[in-house]
Amino acid sequence: MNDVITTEKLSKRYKDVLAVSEISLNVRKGEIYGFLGLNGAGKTTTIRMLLGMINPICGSSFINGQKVHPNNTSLWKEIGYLVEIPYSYPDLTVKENLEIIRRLRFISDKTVVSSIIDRLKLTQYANRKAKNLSLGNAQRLGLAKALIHNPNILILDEPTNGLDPAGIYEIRELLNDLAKNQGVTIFISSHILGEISRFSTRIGIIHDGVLIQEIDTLQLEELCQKRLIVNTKDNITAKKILTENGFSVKDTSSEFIEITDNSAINQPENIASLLVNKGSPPSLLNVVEEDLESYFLRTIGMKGDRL
Amino acid sequence: MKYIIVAIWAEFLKVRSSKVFYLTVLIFAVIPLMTGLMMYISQNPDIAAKLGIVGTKAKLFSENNWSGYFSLLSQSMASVGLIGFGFVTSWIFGREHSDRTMKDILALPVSRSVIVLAKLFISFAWCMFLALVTYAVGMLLGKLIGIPDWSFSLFIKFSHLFFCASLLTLLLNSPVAFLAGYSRGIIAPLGFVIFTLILANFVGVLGLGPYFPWAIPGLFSVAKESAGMQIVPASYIILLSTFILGYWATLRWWQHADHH
Repeated sequence: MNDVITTEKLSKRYKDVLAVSEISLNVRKGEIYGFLGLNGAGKTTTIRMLLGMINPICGSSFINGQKVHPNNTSLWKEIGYLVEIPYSYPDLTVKENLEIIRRLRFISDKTVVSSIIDRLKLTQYANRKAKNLSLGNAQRLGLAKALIHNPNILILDEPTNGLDPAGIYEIRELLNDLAKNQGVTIFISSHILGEISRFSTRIGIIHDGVLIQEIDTLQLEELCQKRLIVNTKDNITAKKILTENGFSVKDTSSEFIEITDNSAINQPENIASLLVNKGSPPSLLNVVEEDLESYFLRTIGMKGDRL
Repeated sequence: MKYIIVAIWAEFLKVRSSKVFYLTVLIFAVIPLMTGLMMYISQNPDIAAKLGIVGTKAKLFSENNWSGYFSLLSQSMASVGLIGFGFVTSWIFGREHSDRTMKDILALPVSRSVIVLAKLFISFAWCMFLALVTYAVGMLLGKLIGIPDWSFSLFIKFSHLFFCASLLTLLLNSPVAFLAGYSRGIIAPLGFVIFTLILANFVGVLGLGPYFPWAIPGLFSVAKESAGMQIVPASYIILLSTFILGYWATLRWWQHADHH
């Protein structure tokens, strides 16, 4: 009942390429839904279908229970969006570009333009023509256009592109604040899991146009694989000892020994005792957790188990 | 009503801030300047002799009076107007693609049909302003040069022809608007405009001008004596139908095409 964005078997084909295949997802109110995929995975196509810019070959999408359709203009009042690299009218200043959006969105309060300029830290560029903005500031202007009307729903396609680390942090905090304190529902795409996992509440992974996994961000840590890295003076003997004691030892590209058994990962002290008792004491014992990018690549079958 | 007013205002701001607007004003001011120069040279045989081939060409033009001057202005406007108006329309509709701002105006409380209407309205206003610039500079220059045989009735007749021909040319903006969207840019519609101008001349030679939309405004503003050069009632219907078809296609494209 709380679903704000819903898609039902949304599909899009370009000639012989199936860009998006039967994507069904739902985003609940106040949720930050991270839509993750490599370049060309189908993220932007899905977002454009959500905004009525592209017609699906089948399936449909709903926002606030209303079917998405280009002519359903009342729908767009509550939505702020940014699709791919935001471009603005090059000969107009930052202020003029935002003034156009203010008018086209029928916002009577004229001060919203200066407020959003301040909020996105564009004050010193307010009278600069859009064509003279840096990539980061052009991105901020795009975000300002998406946020100027305080929308209840934000659909953002790679919003931190071109921003420096400080800018990425700022935008992340801003979006967090909007979701947590103002109940704004955010659908945000990215190709960087590490970035998106920091503030999304749920993540959908799309690959080759197919939604292959949906996970709560809190679950993410559990899903990342852990392994125990061991090093001794004589790794050949140590490997033999571990194998004889029932541990599965994996060959790695480095000279270290890698153990993936949960018993070893949860109680590495047992491994230390075993090796000491057998005369091959460890010089290194380290539980290493798979990082998010590796997890993402493994999930889409580009690394690890699925290779 | 508030939707269309807001959309027109937005389009006006975009046009006002662009260099293209001022460039077109300059070009449309140069048309009568060139016509006036030719008239001045033909009025002064000593200058014509010094200028050699330019002088000879100027002498060839027309009668050395207001009637000839008006005729020259109308002819210039018939061809340059077609290209100029086409360029203006291409720019207004195609710039959203070349500047990659199209996506910003597709999901707004203002519908796409209103935006198309506002763009078309601004293209009409801009083109009529350009026609006015040519007209005003032309009249001023004619007075400055001191062209003989001024006649008020001739002036009224020319003014009527000039502005009616400009209005008829405006009706050809809508197919250009469609092509700017369909080709997602400015180049293809401009190519189309130039092609139609060439075709209009060819069709005119064949005597089919009154039935070819892109030849009709030109025929309206120039000589009407020769057979196959006269506008017929069907000409207006053809021109209006072209406009309606172009407008309908533009609307359909904006509302239903995939916008990447």
